[in-house]
Amino acid sequence: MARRGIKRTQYEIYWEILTYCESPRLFTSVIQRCDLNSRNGQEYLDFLEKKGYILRSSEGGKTLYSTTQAAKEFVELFTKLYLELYENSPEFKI
Amino acid sequence: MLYFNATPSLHEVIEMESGVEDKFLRELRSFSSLLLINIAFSGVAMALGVALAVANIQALLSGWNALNLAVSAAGVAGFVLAMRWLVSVVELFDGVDEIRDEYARENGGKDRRVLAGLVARLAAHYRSNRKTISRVILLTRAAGLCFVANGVFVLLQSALNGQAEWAGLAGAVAAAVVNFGVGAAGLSVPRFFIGYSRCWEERLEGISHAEERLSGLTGGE
Repeated sequence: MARRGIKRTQYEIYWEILTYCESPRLFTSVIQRCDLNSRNGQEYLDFLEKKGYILRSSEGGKTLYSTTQAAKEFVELFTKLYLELYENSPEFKI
Repeated sequence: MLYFNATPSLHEVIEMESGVEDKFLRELRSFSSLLLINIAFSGVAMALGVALAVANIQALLSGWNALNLAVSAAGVAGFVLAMRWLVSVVELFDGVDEIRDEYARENGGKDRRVLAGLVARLAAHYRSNRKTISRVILLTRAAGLCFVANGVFVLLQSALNGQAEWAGLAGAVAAAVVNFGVGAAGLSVPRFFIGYSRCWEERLEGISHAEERLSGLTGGE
């Protein structure tokens, strides 16, 4: 899924990473799925890990990233806010 | 004005989600239709531009005429504008098509988080294509004006040449009508893109407010 040049906010990127990492994921899978370069991907993952939203673990010599329970509040709030703002805004029709 | 409910009940949440999904699909369909209409009209405009330019260049080869020169120039300008119009619209369509595919792949609104993700994708698509939408608005207006001008030129040309034959006159009127039709489409299309932009600008403002709340959780980074 190539989405080069798509402008997302940092919260949208956090949300994408957190929902994707609900199952443990490799770094390369995260950056590929969330369309990030490795430098940005590492920065986002480091930030989320520092906040306690992502847990880094090792399995068979591979580093895996998984979303923690602490991230649930953020994911839920993001989902709620985006659905509400979409519903409460005017609709485009032709 | 956007607002966020503090504590909606389960029933309200379920109702809201199906409302959001319906609205999302309706909007996606409307925007895709608008883009498809634009693809069709820009194709017609390109063809018309080439046809006018070639016909008038041929006429110029058999004898100098300022009106033929003006019409062929307008035809070439219309073709170039229509081609850029087509490319811009195809770019927009490509992004919307990806979101539609994702909706189908993820089974749409069965999961409220998937739906929120699709809304975020559509927001990102609008953010990334603001300039393209503005360009389409300008291009369609310019192309529309070119074709209206061409229609006037064709009628003028026919009048100045004193076309007495029925076939020639009917041909000129038909060409003018087609030009006016494509021109009217070009001039009316921006209204819909402006409407789409207005909806999304309001939503982006809502997203800025949402970010303030989200930054409260992530520590404002």
